[in-house]
Amino acid sequence: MTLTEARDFLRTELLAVATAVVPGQKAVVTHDPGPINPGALFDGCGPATVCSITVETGEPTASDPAWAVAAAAAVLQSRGWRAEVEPVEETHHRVAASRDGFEITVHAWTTDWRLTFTGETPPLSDSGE
Amino acid sequence: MAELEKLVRRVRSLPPEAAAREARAFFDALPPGAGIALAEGRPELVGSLDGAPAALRYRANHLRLLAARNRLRAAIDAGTATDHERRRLQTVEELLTPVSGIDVDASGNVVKVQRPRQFLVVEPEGQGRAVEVLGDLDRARNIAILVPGMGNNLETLRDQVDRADLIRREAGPGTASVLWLGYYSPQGVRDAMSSVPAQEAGPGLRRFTAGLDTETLPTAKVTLIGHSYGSHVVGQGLINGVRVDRVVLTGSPGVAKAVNGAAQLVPSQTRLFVERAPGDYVSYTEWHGPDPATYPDATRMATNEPAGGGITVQGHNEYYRPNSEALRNVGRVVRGDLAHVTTTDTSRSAETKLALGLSWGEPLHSAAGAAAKVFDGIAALRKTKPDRAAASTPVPQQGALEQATRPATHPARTAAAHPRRPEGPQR
Repeated sequence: MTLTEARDFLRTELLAVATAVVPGQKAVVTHDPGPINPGALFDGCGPATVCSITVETGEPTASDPAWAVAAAAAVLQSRGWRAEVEPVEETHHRVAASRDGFEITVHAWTTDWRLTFTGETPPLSDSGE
Repeated sequence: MAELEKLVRRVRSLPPEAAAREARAFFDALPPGAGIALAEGRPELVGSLDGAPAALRYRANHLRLLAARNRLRAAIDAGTATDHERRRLQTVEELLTPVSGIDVDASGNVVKVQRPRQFLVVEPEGQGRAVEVLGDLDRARNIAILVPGMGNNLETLRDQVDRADLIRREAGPGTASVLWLGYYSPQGVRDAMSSVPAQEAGPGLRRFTAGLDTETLPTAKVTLIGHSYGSHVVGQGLINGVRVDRVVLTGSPGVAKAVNGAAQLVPSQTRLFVERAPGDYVSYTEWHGPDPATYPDATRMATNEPAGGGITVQGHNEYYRPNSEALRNVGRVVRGDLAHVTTTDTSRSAETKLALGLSWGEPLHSAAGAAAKVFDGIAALRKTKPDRAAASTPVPQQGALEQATRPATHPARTAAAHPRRPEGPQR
């Protein structure tokens, strides 16, 4: 798999899960800058080996973060991801999911109606190495 | 315009906090519309003026980027552009591309909204510097300021900002992240061996945070985060009087030779949180001073889940991996959920124990002068393989390890000069 293919796959998955959890709204890709160097904070000269994408959605008038993360975990599992609902931390509800080196985090909050679906590809090059 | 020039000259000689307050008072006293006129008329003055309203600085820096784009395009059209200028044009065009978010329309539908990127500093010439805000600074309850390490410049901003965005997502609603590349990051290992870039950055970081104070809610909590060489910069900022609510240092090569405790860096009401992952060779070298993970009065956060499982963070380069305990703990600190922060007290020896029961962490630490060779070797490995494990797992080359265990030839610190305390947090 090339990095471009991985990026496309991740974006498709994030949009599919977000749409399944909140079918009445249109999920939006809010962050998809292309290949990045995940180690830039250590050394900006390193290679761009991953893609990082965020999709956002939510139901402004009827948010239920506990239900939303449970639904997101179920959808992810049905699509072949290993997904777990993590213990609630104050207002923070979270799903952590992984699959073949891909990582997805779903964040939901009791203080906000927005759901964020953030994912990162495994390190790859565009030649597929 | 003349009054603005006078203000800029006058505040240069003032202490940072007084300078920022005076700049703010100047803009607050202007009649409606005059501030934006100054930002558009003198963007080179307003764009980086600490204490000027953020909205005006965003506008001024947007104009600076537009001007840079025009200059670079003209050079390309004239056939005089260098390779650097061609790359820089691509960068500037990316920085001028709006960012996306979501909002709700009048019918209750979620809609995509776009707005220009928000720069509090942008220097489109040379190596380049930039300070970018993600989120709403004037409404944020929590603010994270992230200082990156070596090798960074305007061309690498996309990568740095991506990590700042991850922190904002972790910290949750009401958080603004600030990527502070407001200094000239050392562009290689040799330059990063010097403290000079960090020492030069420290006063600038104080001026920046003083300006930030005039913009944010009085109740907003500010967390200053530094990784790798960025932690050295943060340390120099704190020594120069930067005052924030919380500080996080990850993968630190030390902040100053004479500093071996949080109390020497931050006031008692400021908490210092530290992360050192197993096998972080940069922290082990203690290049710029004692490893903050050994400060007895810092909170040493876990980088891996205490119960095991989950994402494994190893080496110097994985602290900001999605779903890692290292990143979660950073988010907890930024949002002030300190009760859920997880801690560790592992030693260098335990973190680097090899199959035969030998540890490479201690020899590396005691041979800091030769560690440059290790750093070079690992950096070379990292740049040849995109594989995550190869990029971050500390596998020093044989020759480098031999060098590391020889007597140091570099004028390094000695153990006597920096007596060690037992490792582990006391707070």
